[in-house]
Amino acid sequence: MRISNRKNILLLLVAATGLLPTVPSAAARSRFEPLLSGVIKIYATAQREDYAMPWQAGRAGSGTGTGFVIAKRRILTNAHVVSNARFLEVSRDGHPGRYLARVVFIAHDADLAALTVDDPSFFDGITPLDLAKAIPSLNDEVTVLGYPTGGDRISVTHGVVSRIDYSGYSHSGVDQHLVLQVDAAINPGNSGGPILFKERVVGLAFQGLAWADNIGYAIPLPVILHFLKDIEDGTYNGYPELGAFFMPARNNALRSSLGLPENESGVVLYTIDPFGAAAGILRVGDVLLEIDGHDIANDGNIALNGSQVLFAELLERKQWGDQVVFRVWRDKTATTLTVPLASPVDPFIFRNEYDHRPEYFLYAGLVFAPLSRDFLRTVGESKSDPNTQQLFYYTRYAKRDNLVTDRDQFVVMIRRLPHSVNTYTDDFLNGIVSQVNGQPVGTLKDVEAAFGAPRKGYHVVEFEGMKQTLVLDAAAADAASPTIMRRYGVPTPSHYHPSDEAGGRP
Amino acid sequence: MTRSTLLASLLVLVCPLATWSVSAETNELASSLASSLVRISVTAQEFDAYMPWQKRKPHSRVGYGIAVGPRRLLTTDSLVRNGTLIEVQRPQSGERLAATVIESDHQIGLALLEVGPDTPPFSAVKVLPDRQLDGNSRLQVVQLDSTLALQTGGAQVLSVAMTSLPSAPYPILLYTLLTDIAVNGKSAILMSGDRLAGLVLQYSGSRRTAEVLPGSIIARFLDDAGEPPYAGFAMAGFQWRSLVDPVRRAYLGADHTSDGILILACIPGTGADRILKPNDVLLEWDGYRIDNLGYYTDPDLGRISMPHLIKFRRAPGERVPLRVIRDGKEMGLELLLARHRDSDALVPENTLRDQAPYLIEGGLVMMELNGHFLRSRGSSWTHSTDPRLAHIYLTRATSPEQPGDRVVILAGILPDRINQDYGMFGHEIVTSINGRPIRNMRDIYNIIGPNGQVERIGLQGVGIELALDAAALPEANRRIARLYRIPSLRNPPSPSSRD
Repeated sequence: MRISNRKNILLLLVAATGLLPTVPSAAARSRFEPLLSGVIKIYATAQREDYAMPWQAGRAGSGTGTGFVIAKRRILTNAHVVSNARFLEVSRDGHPGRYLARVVFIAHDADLAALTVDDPSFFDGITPLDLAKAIPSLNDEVTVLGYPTGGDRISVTHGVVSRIDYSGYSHSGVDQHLVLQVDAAINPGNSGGPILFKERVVGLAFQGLAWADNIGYAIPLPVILHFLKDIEDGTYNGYPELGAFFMPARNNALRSSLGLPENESGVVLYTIDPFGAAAGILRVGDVLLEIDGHDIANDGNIALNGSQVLFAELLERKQWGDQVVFRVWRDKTATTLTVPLASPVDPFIFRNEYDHRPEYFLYAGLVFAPLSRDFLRTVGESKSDPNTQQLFYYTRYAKRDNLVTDRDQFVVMIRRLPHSVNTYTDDFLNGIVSQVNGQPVGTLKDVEAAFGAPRKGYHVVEFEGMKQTLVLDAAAADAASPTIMRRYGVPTPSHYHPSDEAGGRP
Repeated sequence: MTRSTLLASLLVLVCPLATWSVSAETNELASSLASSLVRISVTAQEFDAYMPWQKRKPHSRVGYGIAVGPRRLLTTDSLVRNGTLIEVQRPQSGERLAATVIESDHQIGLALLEVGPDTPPFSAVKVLPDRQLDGNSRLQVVQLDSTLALQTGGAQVLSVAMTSLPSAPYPILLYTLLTDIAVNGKSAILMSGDRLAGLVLQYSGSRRTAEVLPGSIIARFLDDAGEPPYAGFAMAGFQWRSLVDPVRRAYLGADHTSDGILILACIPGTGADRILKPNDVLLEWDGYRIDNLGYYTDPDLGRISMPHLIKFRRAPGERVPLRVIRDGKEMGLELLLARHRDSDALVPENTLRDQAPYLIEGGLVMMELNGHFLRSRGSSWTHSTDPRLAHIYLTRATSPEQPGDRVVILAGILPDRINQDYGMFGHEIVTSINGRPIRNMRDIYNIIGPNGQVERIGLQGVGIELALDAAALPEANRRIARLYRIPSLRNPPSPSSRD
């Protein structure tokens, strides 16, 4: 009873504010109200995968977010609102119906997704929102629309642009792009909602900051436009990665060791990612002097449309298939190099994974899986165990310490389903497999293949950095596998991604 | 009289009664130890792990020592290590006599002190030669109470095992004893009759258990320390694992017996190097059969873990016969024992918290990675440490590829204009200096010589060298030393560094 009483009070308050409106000018209202029709609420039931027991699904949970309608009957929202969705519905403010929605494009590296609703009646009376031509400036007042927690109906908050900067995108865990920081209230449920400046979309609310007040982050217009342009050809490719790590060319001794003249400025490359676009074209020790005709300052900034931005901002606007032209200082002379931005898939980015089942292979109660950020999250705090700690080393230093040679995955023995056939194998848990039966392991499939060819009746598994080897009796292991699967409820002995769904995609 | 003062005076009355109520034998023991037992007060100061040019706040420790000669006292290494002042007090005396450490072995945990020649002689206690302490042994813990009077209490052996203590992460033979008095300082004395039976290394007040280093090891230490040079305790130089798994035994051709442990790796430069091989099954050591968990039957102690056999039944320099199964065939081998030194490790523990060698050039602090450096971040150090450094320490700290290898790191960067933009390279591994590869700090000092300087630094996985302005370096070094108050920018490794 008490609860329903409270509800009544809330309703009364809503009604009361309705009676005493602060009347905006009729013109302003007529500009604003059609905007609301394009802001929709998204209901998602998602199910995360269980990376500790990859043969079964994790728990399902429900959440809500916001999206907004743009041209071509597309609803733009965050990738994190609709990732791993099992059931997706949308509704409009003030309309009773819920409509089934589906994801058309999803960009995990930019935390963006485009949905659509197949029932055309959903779009009746909706005015799609217009995208702005440019991002606002600091201190410009912006409006945030969405369906945050604390009520069911649409909510409007205001704030100013506090900062425009590069920052991490927590959805993928590894990507960095431009972000817009606003001081308007942004709360759970706001995700995917439009940020408007002069009635046009300049950003999309996406993440907050724990332990801080009045800091909300939005994905700014350039990232949204990049996504929309990328999907024009019907597939999302993601951002090209130059794959060159740089430091400022400010230190005098460093400059003179490179023979860099006083009048030149730029950034020094100190590591080249073997999987990036720069590999084979740019070299360590190169100084990037210009990018596409823009002078690079010693701190890495270029002048773009009157403001100083990191030169990476120019790269951010490129699509796969584009190219970038650098003027480079190399071997004490300046030269011009063109880098085509058509990089292959990089399996060692270790992004958070979504929308596909984790890969695994089970044999004799030993579960093998590729090393992933999601799996590392399940091992959590046991970092003082040398095997587990090694996983963090391999994740962080895969490329710099050249641990990736001849591999596409680091295959880890993630679990033992105890059975007398594998009793003495706990030493090897969380070890990275280097060889099985003398066959080098470059992918999970290599493990399965190599277990097919035991040597003299034994399976011998070797691990990186470990001085002992795991030995199984091949006949006993073969015989035990079906029993183990039945006993521990494992429906299938393996799962691999379909070949068009390789790891490392954005 | 208030309630609390009443209670206090009652306590004062009761305590002496309790000690008086023990047997005449105890009384006799107490009077005989009056000129043997001392209280040791130590002021100690460790070097800072991150800034090895300066020391941390001094702190004090209190414990006990026992006379083993007219001017020589035995105590535990963890009590006196890094002592800046060591003073001893006789029972019921306020006089403090200065003492100095003349030998210590931090792997065993013992130290030998000497007092000045003007000191009236102590009466030396004999060490119990008998190794067979058991639950029936009549043992007494001896210490001083708050009035500096001798206090004794009974103790009973619960177990004996090879154990690692935090003060020395190398397993040593320790007895666990249940005591009936609360031990009130480090290195309390364990007596069996009038003989020294052990020293307390660690005490748990809640469980009333003491970890005691036995007389047999003390006797070995004293014999050795009495005749310099100190030879120390032996090490074989291999890593091993138990070998119970019948499948693995069959695979290794070791299934005709259930004995023997698996050799994993040998440390380069040790006695085991090139004698034992990975996948050897070690069956016998010095005539003793080793079971598949690594235990043997000691003639004095019974079933005990194998490190005791290696460390304490033989001395460095001796040759030991072994039997192994290699490639399915049993064979005899011989191995030369050597002293185990922390300085042989790729990443030394530096449990002593000694001053690490370092070099500061242009504000770049170069140091060898050591356990003290990593563990100074606290118990969850793995979370805040660069995963590459943690990986090296956790997987191959004791195994240099060649003797003398160390991991030289940029331990810190003291910001200055000469090292502008180099701050991002903290905790990277230094692989070359001035274009020449290096394996340790000594290599760096050899390359630059007495008057040279570090002008280029190569780092693992970083394609460019960090350059320092040669002409500006002398002035920058003076500036950095002055601003950051560093008394010396260079601290080369000593010719024979302590282990």
